[in-house]
Amino acid sequence: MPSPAPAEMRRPPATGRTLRAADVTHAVDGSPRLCGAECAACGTRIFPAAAICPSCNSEKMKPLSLSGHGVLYAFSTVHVAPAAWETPYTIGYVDLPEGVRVFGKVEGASALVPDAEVGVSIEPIDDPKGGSAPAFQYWFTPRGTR
Amino acid sequence: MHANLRPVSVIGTGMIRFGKYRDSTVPQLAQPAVREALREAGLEPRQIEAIYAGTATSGWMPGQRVARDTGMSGIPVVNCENACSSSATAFREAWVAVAAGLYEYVLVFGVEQLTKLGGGTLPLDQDDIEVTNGMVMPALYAMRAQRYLHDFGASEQDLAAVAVKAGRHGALNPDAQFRTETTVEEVLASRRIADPLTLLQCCPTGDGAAAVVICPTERAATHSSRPVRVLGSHLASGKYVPGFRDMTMPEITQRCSGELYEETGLGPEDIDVLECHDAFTIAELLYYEALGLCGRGEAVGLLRDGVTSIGGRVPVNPSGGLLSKGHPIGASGAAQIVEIVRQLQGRCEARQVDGARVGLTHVTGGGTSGFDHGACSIHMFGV
Repeated sequence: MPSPAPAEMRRPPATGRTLRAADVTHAVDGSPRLCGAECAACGTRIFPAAAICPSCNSEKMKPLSLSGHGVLYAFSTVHVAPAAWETPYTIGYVDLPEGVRVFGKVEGASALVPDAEVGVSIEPIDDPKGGSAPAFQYWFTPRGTR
Repeated sequence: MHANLRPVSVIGTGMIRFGKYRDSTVPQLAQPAVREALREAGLEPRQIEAIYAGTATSGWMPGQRVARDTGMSGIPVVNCENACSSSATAFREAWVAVAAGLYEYVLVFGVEQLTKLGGGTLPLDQDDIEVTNGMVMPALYAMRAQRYLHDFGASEQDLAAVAVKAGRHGALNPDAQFRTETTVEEVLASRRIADPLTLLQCCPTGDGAAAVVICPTERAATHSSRPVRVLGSHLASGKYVPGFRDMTMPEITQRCSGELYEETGLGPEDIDVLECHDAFTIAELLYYEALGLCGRGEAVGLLRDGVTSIGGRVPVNPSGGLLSKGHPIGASGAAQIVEIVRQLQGRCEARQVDGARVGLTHVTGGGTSGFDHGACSIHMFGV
């Protein structure tokens, strides 16, 4: 086994992949929402968004604002992961009301069971590439908490 | 079977004991398995007309690297990668070529040296949004396990029982990486990997190689006293589903096996012995159901009743499976085929499934977000 990365380099995987500006939209009350896409030709819905529909190959993909809550389908606390990641961390799949399943980090998992309602939290972060591009991270929490 | 394809048989098998061989090279791992298969087939290397090789992480051109050292350089080589289904895919492509009449004698092998990666979880696609948010293979299976326990009222002890059976079978297999039996308590007390899966519920890191030689059935009797026929071969890829998906019913396995049963006219009730993709304990339970051995939620009972143990009606993973025999991923497909062929030939001694006449091999492979798995390759064999 390679030795683990020094503590200052280890980071939770939620910051390993940031959302681009295109992955986030804002609801009327200004709160951030995940932004997927919906195909105008066949109705397929995906997250994250893509320019080409993965079902019918159409280029008519439109932005789709996703709800800030969903149902936690399954989750697991991970104890062994690539060296750069800080363990343990919890990840899971959430089914959003729009019919899209999203994978992400889960906070407050000790209060959760399969089929629990969860909220989607989104936060702006510094551009990891050191530039000025908008960047965000997201995670799931028990509904009603942050 | 497609009307234009001629029947194909396996006439030689070979494998090395799976384990950790950090100081070997990839050709050094594969060569003994390849030479054993050639010896069994009664063939000189120069009689082989093509090589189909499978590896997932062990470098480019495994076929040519091994051919060079074994007197087979210069013939057509196809190197296949389908993650854990790499060598089963290689076998399928070899089968297609021989069945179509392109070649008479073809070598298939799989090789993998995971110890070169340093241990831990397999490196996954770094562009995948799930991977960069923390997905690792054990976590994927752990979520399946959590959901299965939740939906069907199964327990962690039920998961551990899969590893206990694997250990019992592996102890009877000289080629298994792990040859010691274990208990439910030991399995559950082992290191936590991704809840609820513990270390002994996960296939180990290891290295290995396995090989087979095939030829048209009409020639097989001159090379083997007990040739084994390929009754069917099927390959499928995962269907991308961006929304809700029932993770307790592996769709790619259900679809691939269903199509194979339809093609061959044989069903799960006709299978006497099978090797399936038990990369993690939960996988074997899910595959009992997806392969049609039992109905939804009945897998735990099947295992508990001894149906899938040696001595039961349809022993599953008599080799010890990926859990005990090991899972050098590119070699596993070929290794399952070696086991099933030897079972049908009656050569497996302490772990022999008596009277086995029809056997099945099943591997899945890798994946990316929105998939059950990336690939699935299933073969049926008979004597």
